[in-house]
Amino acid sequence: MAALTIDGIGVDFGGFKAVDNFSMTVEEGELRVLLGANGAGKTTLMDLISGKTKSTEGRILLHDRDITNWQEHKIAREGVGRKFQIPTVFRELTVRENFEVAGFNHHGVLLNVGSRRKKIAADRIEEVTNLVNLRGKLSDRAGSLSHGETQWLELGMVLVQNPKIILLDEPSAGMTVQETLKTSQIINDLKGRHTLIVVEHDMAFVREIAEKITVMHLGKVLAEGVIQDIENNQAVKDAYLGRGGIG
Amino acid sequence: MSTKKKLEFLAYAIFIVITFMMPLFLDIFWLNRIAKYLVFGMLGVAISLSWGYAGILNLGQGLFFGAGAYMLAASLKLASPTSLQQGSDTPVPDFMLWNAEPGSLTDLCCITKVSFLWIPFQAQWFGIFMGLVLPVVLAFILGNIIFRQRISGVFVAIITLATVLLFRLLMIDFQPLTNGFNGLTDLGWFTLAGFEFDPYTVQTYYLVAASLAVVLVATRWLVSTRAGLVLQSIRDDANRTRYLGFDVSSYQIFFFCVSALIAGFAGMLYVIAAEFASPTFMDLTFSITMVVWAAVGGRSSLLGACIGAILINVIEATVSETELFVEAWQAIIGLLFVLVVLFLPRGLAGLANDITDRLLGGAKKSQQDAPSGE
Repeated sequence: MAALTIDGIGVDFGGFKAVDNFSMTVEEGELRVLLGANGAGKTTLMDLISGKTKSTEGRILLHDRDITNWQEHKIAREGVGRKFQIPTVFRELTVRENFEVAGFNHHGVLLNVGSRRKKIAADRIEEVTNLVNLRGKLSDRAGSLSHGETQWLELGMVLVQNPKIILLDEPSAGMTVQETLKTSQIINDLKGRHTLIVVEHDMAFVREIAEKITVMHLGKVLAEGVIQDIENNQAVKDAYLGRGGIG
Repeated sequence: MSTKKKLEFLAYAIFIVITFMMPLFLDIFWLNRIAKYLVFGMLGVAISLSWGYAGILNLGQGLFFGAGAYMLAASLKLASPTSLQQGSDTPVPDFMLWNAEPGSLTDLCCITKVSFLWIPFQAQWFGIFMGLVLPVVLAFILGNIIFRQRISGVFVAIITLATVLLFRLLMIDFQPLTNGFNGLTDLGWFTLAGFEFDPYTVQTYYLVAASLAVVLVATRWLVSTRAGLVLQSIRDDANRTRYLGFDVSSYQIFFFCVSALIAGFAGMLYVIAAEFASPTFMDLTFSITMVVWAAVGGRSSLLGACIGAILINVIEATVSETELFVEAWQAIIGLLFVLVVLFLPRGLAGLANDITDRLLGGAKKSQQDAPSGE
């Protein structure tokens, strides 16, 4: 059974189909890159997987469990972690507290009223802190971090939860060249250990990390394959890469 | 424990000790006044919890304060000597006679169409029980409507504001049940285990001061639990919290109810100290005033908001009674608010926080050479 099976998913926003009969299978431990022009439906697809948008057709299976149109927090508990395009962290809390919240082993309000904050997934937090290069920043307020560090913090929060599938929406957006390089190292580090779906525009970045690529166009699958296939695919060139080929 | 946390605990301890030492310095008239201000301090705690920690700006906190107040006041009204002198074997509130159905029996069962609702309030424990339960039930219903729909920000403020005005109108209109505009006055004393709490005694003051200490410590504990941390996460980014697997609305509803419980408890204590319950508790100005107290004291600090409420009331009382300022005191208080909001956006607690940071920062620098662990 594949880690994630998307079977003919679609959503109709009052006549406009942002995602239309889209199917994709992602194997355990795979890193899949989602490519596509603005408006191709990449983020909407992420929204459909994570429960933000309710689908009007099709199914989404996490291993063999049907998670189609569940509430967001239930999908998250089932093991789908999502990092947003615009980094969202808890700005008034410290970096450590951000990780702690992510690491809580239960989510109900009454269970958490009875729990002190000592010793929450301490090993896991340390491991993740090293992975996302935030050593020495644990006591800093999250709001005081740089843009790149904020992106890593959010990625780290998702990682603390050790989700079955990680959705990354443009993880290198707004980063400097060095930060982008570091991010690609982090993602390469995760390869094989986690199942990842990455939405990305930056072709240089995609070359760094990609194994298999799915290209979206007008809400549908346009092409699927390894990077060479995609770069040489005429339909992709016409629809997305266009003038002058891949940058 | 970090130095800063130790200082915070010290601040709580000092505050509680000072409130308990007040009877050494003040006469009974002022003690009763301060008791009322401590009740307002408790409202500051409730506002800080919902606004500062949860990011829920509730402009209708007076609804919960009023609900708690009216419930206990109903019991104390029936315990009043005048209620026993209405020509019946059982107590009947005087205002019900003025609203009586023609030819009806002078008894709670049937003197007015709705007077039977008062029957269980003959037991004081029922008044206390309802004073705690009713605010929570109202908050639970209101919270479910607001937070399950993912309403946030200014819209929460508008809905809570409209709700408190609606209930105020109902309280005034249901004259036969609530005595309308006049509220419930001429109350008996609160009795606990055979002891009568005369509002103008030091015992009543201690009852209020001890209640405030318990509420402060319990609320401070609550926000230090995991649930408290999740609550602050929701305030900073509800969506992020949701995608970490937390049911955001259940946290918001829970803390909205806790905040209502504190406000309801404050309402009951106010009735004990002030001996009346009135629809003015549900006036818009009162609910907004509470928010101003918390803003001046510092909404992100429970203790700060509490001290803010007490301080402003003490200043108001002294300034308004100083002959020189009798005409101008409201302008002076208004100016004070404007200055605080302009120059101390995080209130007095924010100022205290910055000062300790600076002092601790200085101390840290001088220690920098020494090898240090945490």
